[in-house]
Amino acid sequence: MNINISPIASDKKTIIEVVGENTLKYDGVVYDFSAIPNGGKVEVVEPAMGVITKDTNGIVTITLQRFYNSSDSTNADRFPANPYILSGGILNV
Amino acid sequence: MAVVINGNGTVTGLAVGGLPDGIVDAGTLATDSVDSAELIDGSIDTSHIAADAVTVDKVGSFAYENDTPAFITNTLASGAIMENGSNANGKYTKFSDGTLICTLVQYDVTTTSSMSDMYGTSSGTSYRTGVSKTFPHAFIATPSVVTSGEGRLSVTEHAGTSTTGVTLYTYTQNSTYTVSINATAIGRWK
Repeated sequence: MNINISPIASDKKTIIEVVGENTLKYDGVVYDFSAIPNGGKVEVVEPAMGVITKDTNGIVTITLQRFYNSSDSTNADRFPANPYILSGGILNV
Repeated sequence: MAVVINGNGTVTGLAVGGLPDGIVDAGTLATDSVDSAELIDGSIDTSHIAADAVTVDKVGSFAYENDTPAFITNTLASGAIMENGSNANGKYTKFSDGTLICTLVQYDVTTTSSMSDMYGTSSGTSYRTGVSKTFPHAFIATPSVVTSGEGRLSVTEHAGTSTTGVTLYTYTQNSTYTVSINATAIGRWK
């Protein structure tokens, strides 16, 4: 899964976990993209931004808002090196 | 000079430096016998002040700046800038009274979608593109957003404003026009 991070300063941190190519957890809430056909795309709402696309090989590309604590942030939190490519696990910038 | 013990309880003939180190200790000095008049300038420096010894209660209201106490009071109480920051989505300024101003990164968009409800009545006479963007800092309530387009004859607007983002639209008369969209959001962070 290709994840583009859209950073937003706040007093909390978002935890993004990739469970599989079609599933991720955003602060514990599960999002399932298996309904998107290969080669398809769908418009989304926050915390995702713009559209989610799935290429002909079934690889999902998504842009997600990611909250970071402005009093305890790194340069990568503020200016992420998109995209982050994960097949599983928690996203660490 | 000889040391003389007088009959009236006094001792004379002592010279400065006449007592070995350690003879006069805190127990030898009468209570309250040493006041500020007995201390030479510079005798108390930072190395002689215990950590955390000076609290707010020990600092006078005019201590910071004798001429501008009102400035300090008013600035810290309401209008002070609490935080400036930036990230990939833009810049923000947080004020102590809760005001938050976010300036989004300028986005270049090219109009592509033909539409019929803008400059004319037939399809193909105007074009639109929309982009969803995240504010650089989160608001606690939906902010006010101002948008403008730069570089082409265009109409720029926004929709779907939330506490974390907004969708920016621009309309032009050509399917290949690129417009630089500026957006500023003003609201509250607390």
